[in-house]
Formats: sequence, C-alpha cells, structure tokens
Amino acid sequence: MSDLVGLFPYWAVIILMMTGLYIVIAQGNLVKKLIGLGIFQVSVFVLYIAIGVVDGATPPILSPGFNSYSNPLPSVLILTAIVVGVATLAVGLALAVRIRESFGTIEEEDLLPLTVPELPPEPEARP
Amino acid sequence: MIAQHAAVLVVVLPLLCAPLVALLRDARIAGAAVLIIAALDAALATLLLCQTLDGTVISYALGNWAPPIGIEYRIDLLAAAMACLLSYAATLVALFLPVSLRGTIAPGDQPRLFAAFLLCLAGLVGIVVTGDIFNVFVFLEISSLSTYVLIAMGAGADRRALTAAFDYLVLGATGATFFVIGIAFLYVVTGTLNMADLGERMATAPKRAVIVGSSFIFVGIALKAAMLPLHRWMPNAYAYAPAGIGTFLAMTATKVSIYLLIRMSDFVFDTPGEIGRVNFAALLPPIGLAMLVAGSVIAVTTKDLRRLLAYSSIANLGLMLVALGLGGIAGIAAALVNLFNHAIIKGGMFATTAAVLHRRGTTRMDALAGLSRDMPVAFGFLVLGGLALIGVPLTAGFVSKLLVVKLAFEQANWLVVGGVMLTSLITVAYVWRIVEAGMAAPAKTAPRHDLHPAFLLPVGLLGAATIGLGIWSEPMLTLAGRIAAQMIGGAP
Amino acid sequence: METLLMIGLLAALGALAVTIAFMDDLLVVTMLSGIFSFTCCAIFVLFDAPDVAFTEACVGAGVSTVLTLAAIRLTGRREKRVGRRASAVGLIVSTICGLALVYGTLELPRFGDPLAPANQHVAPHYLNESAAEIGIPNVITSVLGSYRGYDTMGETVVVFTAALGVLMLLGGSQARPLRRGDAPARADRDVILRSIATLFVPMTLFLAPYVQFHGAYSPGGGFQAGAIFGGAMILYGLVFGIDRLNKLVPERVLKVIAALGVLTYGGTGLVTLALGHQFLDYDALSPRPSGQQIGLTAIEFGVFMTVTCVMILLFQRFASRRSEP
Repeated sequence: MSDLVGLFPYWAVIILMMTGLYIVIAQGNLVKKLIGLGIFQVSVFVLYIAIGVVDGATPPILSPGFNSYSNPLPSVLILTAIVVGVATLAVGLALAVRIRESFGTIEEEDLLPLTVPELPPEPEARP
Repeated sequence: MIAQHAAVLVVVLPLLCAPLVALLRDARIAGAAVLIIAALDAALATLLLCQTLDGTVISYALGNWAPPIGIEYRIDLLAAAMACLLSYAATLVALFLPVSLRGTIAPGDQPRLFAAFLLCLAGLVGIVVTGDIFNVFVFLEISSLSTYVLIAMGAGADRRALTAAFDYLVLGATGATFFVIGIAFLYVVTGTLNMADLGERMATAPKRAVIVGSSFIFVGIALKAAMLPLHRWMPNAYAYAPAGIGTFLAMTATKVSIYLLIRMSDFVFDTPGEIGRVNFAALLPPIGLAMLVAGSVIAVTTKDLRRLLAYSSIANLGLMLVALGLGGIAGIAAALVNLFNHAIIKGGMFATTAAVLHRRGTTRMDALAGLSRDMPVAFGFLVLGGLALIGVPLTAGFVSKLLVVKLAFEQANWLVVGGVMLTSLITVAYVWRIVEAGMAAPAKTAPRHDLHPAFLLPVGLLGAATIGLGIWSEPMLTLAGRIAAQMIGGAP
Repeated sequence: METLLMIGLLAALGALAVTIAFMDDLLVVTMLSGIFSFTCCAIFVLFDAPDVAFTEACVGAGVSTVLTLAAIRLTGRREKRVGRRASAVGLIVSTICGLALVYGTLELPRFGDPLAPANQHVAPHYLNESAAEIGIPNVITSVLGSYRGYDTMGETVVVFTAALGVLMLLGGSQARPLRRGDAPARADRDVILRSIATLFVPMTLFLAPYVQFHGAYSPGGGFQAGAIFGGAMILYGLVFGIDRLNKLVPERVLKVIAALGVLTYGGTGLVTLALGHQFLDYDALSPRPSGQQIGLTAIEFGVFMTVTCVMILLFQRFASRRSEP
C-alpha cells in the first residue's frame, strides 16, 4: 500500500507522457502532432522534477533557518529541456507553414499521395 | 595553449563561428569562411588524434569543475577518430557545397545555410567528445535542429524536402525525448550524469530501472540510427536534402548514432556485474541482418540514384550492427572498420551524385542515360564506389566485409555468413543498375561536360581512399583494433 | 494537504491531455495545451522548483502558445478526423511504452525520499559547497551558470539555431510580407485591450531586469528575463499591430543582438581560456568567489540578449507572414 502512494506520482506522469505519445503517433494533423509532442515533453519535465523532490524540503535557494533543500540538478536539466522544446516547436511550426503553402494541406493522409517517391520532382513555387 | 585546449576548441570553434557566418551577407565569403573553419577544425581533430594515439585519455573539466560535479570532455582514441571523421567530412563537403547550392538556394539565404551547417558539425563533434550523458542530449539537439532545417532547404529543388524534414523532426524529437526519459531512470538510481561514473554506480543499482532506462536510451538512439523498423525518415531525408548536405549526413549522422551505441555499450548497456546487465548485443545481429537484406532489396527497386544509395546505407548500417552484435574486441573493431570505410565509400558516391545533380538537375535513374560518355570521370567514380559496395577485392569495401565474414565464420554463425554473401549478390544487382543506366544511349547527344572542378578534389580524395584503404588496409585495421582494445580494456 | 493538491492537479492534467487528444478544433487544442502548461507550472511550484515553473510559464505556456496560434492562422484551424487504424497503432505503442515505464518504477526510491541516490550523490555538493564556491544563494543559478555552464551555452545555441532555422524557412527569399491593410491595427475597437496593454507592457518590461539581476537571490535569470522581455514585446505586437513591432525592433537588429548573445557567452569562455584557465572557469576573471559572480553576470547577460531577440524574432516571422498566396 505504501508502495502505491510512494509511486503514484510517477505513474500519473507516465499516463500523461503516453497520452502525448499517442497524439504524436495517432493524429494526422501536423500541428496537432507538434502539440502532442509538447505534452509528451512537458510530462517528462514533471517526471524529472518529481525525482528531485525531497520530503519536507524547500526550494534550493539557500537561506538561514532552512537546512533541507530539494535537489537542484533536475531543475537545471529541465530548464535546458524547456528551451530545447520551444526551439523544436518553432522549427516544426515553420515547416508546417511551408508544407501548407506548398501542398495546400497539413493532413498526413492527404500529403501521402503527394509525396510518394515515384512522382517527378516539383520545385516549390517561389513566393 | 591550443594543444592543451584542443578538446574544447574542436567544438567551440564551429559553434561560435556559426553566428558570425550567419550575419555575413555575401554568399561567396560565407562559403569560403565555412571551408576555412572546417579545415581548422579538422586540424584540431587531427591534433587530438595524435595526442590520444598512444592510449592516453584526455579528460577536460569544463569550468574546471571536477567530474561528476561538472561536465567532462573525455576523449579517447574512439572519440578522436570520430571527431576526425566528422571534421574531414565537413571539410570535403565544404569544398563543393557552394557550387552544389547554386541555382536551388537564393544567394541571400546561403550564409544562413552555411551557419546551420557549422552548427550541425559542432553538434555532432560535441556528441562524440563529451563524457556527460545530458550534454550528449544538448548537442544532439543542436545537430538535430540544424539538420531538420538543412534538409528542408532542398525544397528549392523538390518540395518533398519539407515533408521529409518534418517527418524527421517528429521522429527525431520523439527519439530525443525517449533518450531523456532513459537518462531520468538512470539518474534516479545512480545520482550522476557522468558516463564513466554512471557505469560504475549502475552495478549496484536496482535492475529494473536500469533495464528500462537503457531500453529507452536504446530506442532513442535506434531512431537516430535509422534502425529497422524506425528507418523510414532516412531515405527521404537523404534523397531530398540539398546534395551537399545529403553527402555530409550520409557520412556522419547515422555514424554518430552507431558511435553512441558503441560508447553506451561500454558505459551503459553492458555493465559487468551480476545485476544491471542488459544484453543488447543479442538484439543487434537479427536487426542488422534484417536491415542488410531489406535495404539491399529495396535499393534494387528504387528509381532514383540518391534513394538507392540511401537504402544501400541502411544495408551497410545493418552490417555494422551485425559486427557489433558479434561482440568482443574483434566485433567492435570490425564495426569500426565498416563505419569508417563506409563513410568514405558512400561519401564518395554521394559527392559524385551531387556532381551529377549539379550538371543534370536530377538523379533519377532514367535520366542518367549517357553518363558514361558525357561525364566519364563521374561515371568512373560511381562505378568504383559500386564495386566497393559489392566488396570487390582491392577496395575498402572488401576489407570491411571480409572482417565481418571472417568473424562470423570463426563463431560458426552461418546465418550471418549467408546473409552477407546473399546481400553481396543483391548489391551486384543494384550496382549493375547504376552501370546500366549510365551506359544507356541518351535520347539526345549532350556535349561532354564532366564534373565541375569544385567536385574534383573531394570526389578524387574519397575515391583514392576507397582504393588506398583496400590495398593498404593495415593502418585502418590497427587503428580499429587499438580503439576496440581500449574500449574493452577501459570498461569499468 | 499537499498530497491532495498534487492528486487534483495531476487529475486535471490527465483530463486536459485526453481532451486535447480528442478535440479537432486546433484553436481550442492550443488554448488547452496552454492551460496544460500552466497547470504543470503549479505542479512545479508544489514540487519546489520555482525556477522551472517560472520558465515554463513564460516559454511553455506563453511563447509556445502564441507561436502555435500564429502558425494556425497560416495553416488552418480545423483538423480532419483520422481513421481507426492509425489510432490502434498509437494505442499499442503508447501502452507498451507506458507499461515498460511502470515496470521500471517498481524498484525506484519512493517519491520524496531524501535517501534516494539522486539526492545523495552529486546534488549534496551543490547544496553544501556552492555558498563557498560561487557565493550566491540560488543554487539553481549556480549549477546552471557555473557547474553545468557548458550545457547552458549549448542551450543558448539551441535557441539561436531555432531562430536561424525559422529565418531560413520563413525569411529571406521565402518571406511573404504582409500587404498594406492585411493586418489592420484596430484603434477604434480594442479600447479595453489597448488600455490594459498600455499599462502592462511597461510593467512587464520593468520586471525583466529585476528577474535578470535578482536571479542570484530568487528564482530567475537570463532565460526567464529574456522570455519576459520578449513576451512583453510580443504582447505589444499583438495589441498594437505587427507593423509597429517590426518598426520598433527591426529584424536585422534582432539578428545581430541574438548572435552577439551567443558570442558573449562563448566569448566569456574564450577569455577564461586566454587567461590560462579551463573553458568557462570563471575563477580566471577574479579570485573566488567574485570571479564566479562576474562570470555568471556576463553569461546571464548573453543568454538574456539571445533569448529576448529570438522570442521576438520568432513571433515576427510567423505573425508578419501573408496567409493567402
């Protein structure tokens, strides 16, 4: 029983992560895929921060009167990962915009017949 | 001072020159700058190789914080050799990149493309020299983000470059997230991010967390290494990227993933001790064999030269995985010889293809007609590369295939022996298709117009290396043997 | 009490994630994912990670949402429903991965266990020694800027790479500038919005330097300050029109400053090299701990420059693109 309480946050986060992964795999809309990717990544951030929690501790900002602090390292790693996430999102969205402009759609199933290797090369129209 | 700090300069030089190059306005100056920077980087990497040749392991504490408190650059012979491969590849590609971009990318956009190329190089070199597992992720992202954009730049010639880049972005980002999840599991049971420290502390860590952590890292790397069944992004990426970029990626990107597998098999996947031992080596031969056969078969059916070469690369990656899976010093050595030789052979073929694309505007098989007459030099180098892919004696391909077959023979692994033999036959089929397409009579006679001079040096050097390493294979074999011995001996 | 709050927040996140998976209006989905991010911020605060909460609020919930909205304007709002087969694959893969992860957690240290290896091996050094070695109270800033400062440099480069990538994809010869009248600023209609923005934009701009320079003592630092400053400028552009924002901070200026930010960070490292120390060893600048603080200030400033300019630049590129061909 104590196991269940002690591991519950991890399991909840795993469910969130997998919902994100499901959106990435299952959804055909490219922007929706990116949003799913975002949920997947943010859930992983929660997992990391959950690792660093110490019972009864305070945030790792040293001050007299406290002697138990949470682990600073996961926070640092996630600060990095958050920025990486938004960078990937920006590039992905820019690609989605260009795909929409060249192909007229951002739905995977509509793009598939337009991108088969057998088609002759078609340069993108210059704006 | 440079010798003392070469470990970090080899990454920082291209990394910090990229913003400067991005601000340049003149495409020609930017192109020349990239060539100089890449060449300097190659010199630094060579210096590192010289420093590590005697078995020294360079440990460079960034910020002067001793590992595992701070981030460590840890350069052994393997890392130095990989850094050499990456920077030499970049230098050779930089020789012809400006020429191959002409006509498909507006001159005003080119400096930014060159900057992204430098970032990609810096990211890849950063992955191979670091000894910190989270630092791997950061530099993986630098190289990945720039790779996505570089591939998309092929849209000037074919709009499918955009979807190829997007598919790679989604897969790559998912793979990177898997990698990060894996790091989380290893961190929570060991408390460290330094790979050497991780290897030591994993021996006493809970087994399940280690298994799951390593598995997620493995899947993350497998995505990047185009391992079956996660290979789908690769042929598109190579076929639609600008030709020079495709050449660079073919020589480096998947090779770095194989490097990560070798590195992690030392630190993460195969830690000695009674617990925490996850035997991924057993998984590799079946996956490798499947890639070997599937890649070769699909290569026979493709209608585009670059796509053909990409599927052939999947087959060759399969061969490396098979060698790695055979295990031991000899297995790692065979995988490394395959890795370096394949980078040279395939680099030469992709560079030649870029030259053909530059003259003809397409690499479709049916458009290659008359190549043997109009571009005899290019055709010659393509055939040379093809022979090496088959594994004809006196080429580098023969040496690397022989190593794998010999090793499998010793272990009486007849499946591998048979698989390699069979795919050599299939390789004959697809190489013959190139020859046949090139010898076909053209619809209309074009004037003889061979390689643009910019391509001569890279294509010639890579071609010469293909033959040279076939005839005089000793140095490569010795190097690979030493690296493998250091990896196995150096394992905690 | 905290446990109950945590359970509630996690349940809310689950509901949001599932809703996002089944909604086909991308505008709604984007707003929900913004709310998802904000809820995560609450969890980060609960889990003693205010710095992360701060950054996620600025970057994850703020900038990401605005960028996605700006992209949806160009790609269309409605999503087409997908077939059943694709969903089955997704379900199988994510279930397998989820079960694997649950299996991996079974032997993990319990949530909040102070004796967990993660809290025992490297982290105590940061908590116990950073006061003497770096001399500032915010341990996260110490680790981010000094102990793992090299990672942070890589992260700044990632931000720069994103801007470079978006400029390559949507800028230069690929730009589709708005025509006159494409994005009218509605001076007559948005009175309330404008009044509030007039109040908020300067306040937010003033908050940024505080977050920047107080990062040593409280949650904050270059990333957060940059995202706040950039966010304020984005708000200005949203309310008063993208043309005015483009005029106020032209793209070529932003490009130069973004590159200079990376060079400031890397340059600090090169200076320490030139002084005969390791790369990014701030002790080269002055004896400990003041050298560390000088170094931290320098690199945080570089981060601020890059992040601010890149955030504005990204928004400009998406928002000032013509939607119809």
